[in-house]
Amino acid sequence: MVEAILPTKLRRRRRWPASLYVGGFIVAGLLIIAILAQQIAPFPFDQMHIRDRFSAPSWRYWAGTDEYGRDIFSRLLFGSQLSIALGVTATVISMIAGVPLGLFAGYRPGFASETIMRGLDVMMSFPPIMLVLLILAVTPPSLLKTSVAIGILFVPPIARVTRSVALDLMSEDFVEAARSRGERSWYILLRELLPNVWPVLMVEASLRVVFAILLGAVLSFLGFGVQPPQADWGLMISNGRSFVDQAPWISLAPGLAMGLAVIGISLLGDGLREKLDPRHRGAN
Amino acid sequence: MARYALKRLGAVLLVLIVMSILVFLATHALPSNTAQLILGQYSTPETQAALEHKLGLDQPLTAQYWHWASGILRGDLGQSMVMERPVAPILWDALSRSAVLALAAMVLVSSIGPALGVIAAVHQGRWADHAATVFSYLGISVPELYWGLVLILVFGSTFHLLPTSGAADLSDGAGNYFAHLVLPVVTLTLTSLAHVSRLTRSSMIEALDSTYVKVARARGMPERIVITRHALRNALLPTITVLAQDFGFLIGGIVAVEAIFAYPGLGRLLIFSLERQDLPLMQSAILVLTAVYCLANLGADLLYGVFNPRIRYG
Amino acid sequence: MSPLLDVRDLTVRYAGESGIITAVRDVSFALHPGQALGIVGESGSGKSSIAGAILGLLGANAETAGKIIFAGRDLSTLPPAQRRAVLGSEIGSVFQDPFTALNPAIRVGQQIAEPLVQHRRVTPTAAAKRAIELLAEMGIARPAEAARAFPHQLSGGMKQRALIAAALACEPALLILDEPTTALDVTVEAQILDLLAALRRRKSVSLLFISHNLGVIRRVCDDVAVMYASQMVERGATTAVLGRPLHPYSKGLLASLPPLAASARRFRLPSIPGQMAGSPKPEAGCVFSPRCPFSEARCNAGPVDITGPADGHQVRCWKADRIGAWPLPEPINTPELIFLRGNALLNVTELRKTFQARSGLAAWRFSFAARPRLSRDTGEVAAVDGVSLALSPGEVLGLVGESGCGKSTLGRVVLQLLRKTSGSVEFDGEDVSQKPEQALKNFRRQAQIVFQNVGSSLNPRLSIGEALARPLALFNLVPPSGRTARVEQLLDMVRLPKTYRLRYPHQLSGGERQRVAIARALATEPRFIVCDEPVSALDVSVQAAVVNLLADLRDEFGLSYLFISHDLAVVAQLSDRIAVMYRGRICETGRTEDVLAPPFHPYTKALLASVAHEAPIELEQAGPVKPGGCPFRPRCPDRMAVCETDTPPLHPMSATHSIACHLTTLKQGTSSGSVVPGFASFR
Repeated sequence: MVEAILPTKLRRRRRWPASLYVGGFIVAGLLIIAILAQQIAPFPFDQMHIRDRFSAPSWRYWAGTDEYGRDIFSRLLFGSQLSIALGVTATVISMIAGVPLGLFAGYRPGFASETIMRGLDVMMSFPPIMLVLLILAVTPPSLLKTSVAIGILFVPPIARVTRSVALDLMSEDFVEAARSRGERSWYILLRELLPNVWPVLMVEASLRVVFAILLGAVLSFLGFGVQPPQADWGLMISNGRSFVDQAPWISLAPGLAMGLAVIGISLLGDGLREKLDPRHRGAN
Repeated sequence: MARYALKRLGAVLLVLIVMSILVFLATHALPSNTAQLILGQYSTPETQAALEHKLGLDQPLTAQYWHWASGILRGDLGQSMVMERPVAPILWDALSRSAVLALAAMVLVSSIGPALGVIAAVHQGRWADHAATVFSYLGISVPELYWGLVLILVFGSTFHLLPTSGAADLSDGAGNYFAHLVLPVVTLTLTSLAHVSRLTRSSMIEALDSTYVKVARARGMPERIVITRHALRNALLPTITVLAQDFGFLIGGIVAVEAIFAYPGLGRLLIFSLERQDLPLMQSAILVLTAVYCLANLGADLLYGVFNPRIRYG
Repeated sequence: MSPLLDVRDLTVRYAGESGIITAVRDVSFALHPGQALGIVGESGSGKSSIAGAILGLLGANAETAGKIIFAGRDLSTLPPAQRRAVLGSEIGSVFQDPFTALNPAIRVGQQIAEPLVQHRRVTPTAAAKRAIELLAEMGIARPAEAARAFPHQLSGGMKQRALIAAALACEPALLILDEPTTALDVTVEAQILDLLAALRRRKSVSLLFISHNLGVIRRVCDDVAVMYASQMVERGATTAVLGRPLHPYSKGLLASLPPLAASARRFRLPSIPGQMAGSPKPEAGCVFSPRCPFSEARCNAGPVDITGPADGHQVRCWKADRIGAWPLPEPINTPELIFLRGNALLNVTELRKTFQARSGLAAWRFSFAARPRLSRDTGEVAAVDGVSLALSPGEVLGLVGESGCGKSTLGRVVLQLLRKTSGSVEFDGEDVSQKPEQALKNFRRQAQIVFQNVGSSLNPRLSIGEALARPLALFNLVPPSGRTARVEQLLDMVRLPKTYRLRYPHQLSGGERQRVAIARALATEPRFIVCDEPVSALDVSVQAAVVNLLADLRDEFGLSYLFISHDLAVVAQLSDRIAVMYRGRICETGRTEDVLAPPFHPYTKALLASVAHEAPIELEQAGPVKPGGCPFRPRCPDRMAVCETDTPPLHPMSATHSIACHLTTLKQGTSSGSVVPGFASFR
């Protein structure tokens, strides 16, 4: 009875989950498009071809034209720049503010960090859209302001996740070993805690980028985000609302683009979570 | 358990107070001059000053805040500047319409969402799971706007099955009333549904992986009982939290959905007030929405406390 | 008599990330009605997979081959419905971790009653009643309350008893236990084992007992099978296998267990060199031969079969009848040190460390009792409650106690990782407990710590070389150019190859990681090391090697250790003196040979009895004890009236031995140690 003789129906578990490949592929494609939009796009995003208004998708205009005769496909490409810029900026801002707060709260639990966490809890108690609208309604909106507003909105969840991982890490013995050597706080935070917090943060960051893009689309739709004639996807959907009977592609195209982008980022995040987050093993 | 409830209640009150302060401050930071807006072409420095004095706008901020806050507690929400009518009835009307949407969506999400998640978890790796995963990805990845438009396209423009904007009163006939509700409710439900089912799925998978489920199987319990009695009870706890979180998305969603379908609810009112910078309306709308959100969260927290033995029995 | 459970050629394979792993290979054994069979092995031996295979719990990732015949039916080929009927009603099971084995959302009584309702068609009311009866049979004090409780409201020992009750609910013929007492304190373990022995007699249930702990197996099982690297290497009656082992692995395992006795400093424990191979290849030869001192060419020539009478003593070694005992290591040529009282390196005086359960607003309580009253109750707990001890240079002081006694806290307060509440800690003449953190740099260099949990003591993101170089950089002990050489030197000191410098913790085994942790502690050239349960998380065969390493380093560098452990035998092996701790107080201290011999503190006596697997002491009591008397009094079989009111001080029995107990103090004062009349002890 030797092992080699017995047939087996077991297959090796893959080291890298499929979602990582597919998601990574889509995201890479998205990034390339965004960077090279200027070069790839057949038309500038604001160039109007009045005679060709409301044309259906064709060889010349791959996704048709809108009410001003602008090529929707080109606008989609430029729109990817806006969406990615929004998603990444908002996430980066939230992490710049949220990660140090979370690390501090996890490293030194006490009155100060309790107060911070309570404050963040209060922030999280507001309906998300309310907070952003409040900020955007009182100042003239722009892409940067929208990014900042969303970034601020996301600080509490990032801080919470960071704090929770930091707390877990504080009970690890290598942190205590560092303290037993008399290491200073900055060393422990930067060299012991932070490198171990990164993997979870990466997963969380991918989630945040997705939420930022979606929220940004809603805001643009409502008129509080990016302003025309920018080729923002949410704005395009909003414009197309009135023409959905005669020219549905004006709204459908940007919606599809957004869906694809978000699916790609979500898959990447899911794949990263399977690979990196030790707390989620097995929930395939 | 009582201590837990009191803590949560205290937190809600704190949030409402902070929110009222924030709203008050934010609206007073608006660039435009309220008096100027109202007076329009008749505005001169003297008339402006007189109106400001009349409206109490020249008093210190804290006094204004107190005046406003105590008014709210008394039920006086001020007067809409744009519509020149008391705010309270307008708000109440809009709130009841939005409430119908929200409740309908919530009921659908709470019943279908966890069910889908459980099915996906139990059939993990097989076609039911894959189908549910695809569905949830689609739901999560595209904003309500998009689905709303697709639905409008399909049911409204192409097949002319359902109305795509506005709302009807019950007095106009139940059929018409419900017809106007269908598309907005479905749109609202779709996104939340995807989210909830996904999270239920992962917490259910975690529960099915646990030692106590292994033990239940080792005791020869039929799979049906293992799933319902053992795994589900533990998996539903995080689901309650998620449903509460989802209520927040729902409120955001309501604003978008009402915009797409031109549904005269609270969300639409809020946007209207923001665009026109109608202070009293804006303040009240924001406050009411926040209060609703907080109360919903409070309800979810209490529900969680009831179902979690560690909190209920200490 | 046909066997109750007949396992034939059981093979279990898993699909892992790095390929297919064979966890169990052609294992066969038979269990007869009324018999208790133990399966012993270390981590990775495959013993748990056997239980998993019998119960069908292995999951989709695993593949099982072979026959598992229970009461005439082959379990592996039964349709699921019938298999379910067998499980739970005819086979009961108890797993290792009582904390996760109970469903946190269902009341305990319900979980016990459930199999009854399912398999025996009993009404829920009758089942609930039976559940309460079972809990009482398991020795739980207030069974009705326990049945109504949720799992988080019960202690670890109570949870395990409840689990055993659930397993026995349907009066199964076979009970499978997988490491049932590993997560429990040794005194609680003794009670559970006692319970199992009693149950065997009363209910004539057969046991399949899986454990890594040879002492426990010896206590409970009639027969034992030894697993190594997925194969069964020896099987037979417990007295035969554990008394006169035949396979070299069994011999090595038994030899490397530290005896419960003082050991002169020059002796070392026998140990099994190397470690279990990751992917063993039994077709090529005996899997144990790389580590076997009796190995020769023939051992690597081809697969080795198990030989011996079917129902007698079997062994998988062709050389078994020709080899002798496991080789003992040569004594080291070090003189025994003599410790003078005055030379203390470390002097701890009346150290107290308290923790508050509640602080700030939450500490206030409003009571409505007689009159409305506002009071403040922080739920203060004294983890360390007035401890004094001293340590001379080169000496090893062992600190023994069960979980929750405060020994780990004491270690950390001594190192100033936690700050004291009161008392003093003098190191080399200076009171370091008074100094602020910035002034402790010198102390930190000289006093280091080695932790229990090998999984978390090394930063997973740093390579071994980086982790070892950090202390060198921090204390500026070596210029940057010389650090690599010094790191290699450190690795050498702990008997690890120099190439490990470039590896990461996850690539090392548990024993190797612990050696790295020791090397890291040595990097600062300390004089004193606190070893907090350094070998408890390691396999038995690796423990001996690490204990030997610690002893060698002690001799080579004149190190002093505060050796903290719950394992009295290991402590006795390495320590010159022992202090026994209970609930924050030292109850007995003295030279190792004095502490292990009478007179005893009642707690020490109970510990020794539990470790030696004799009669256990009476039931545990949860919750804090009112201050003022002896902390051990609720559990002490000999308590007297004075024990309730006066805390006994450490009373010297001799120049080298002190005990904190009123009774032993009294006994010492009388001739031949008999109890003074008039002071009746009551139970």
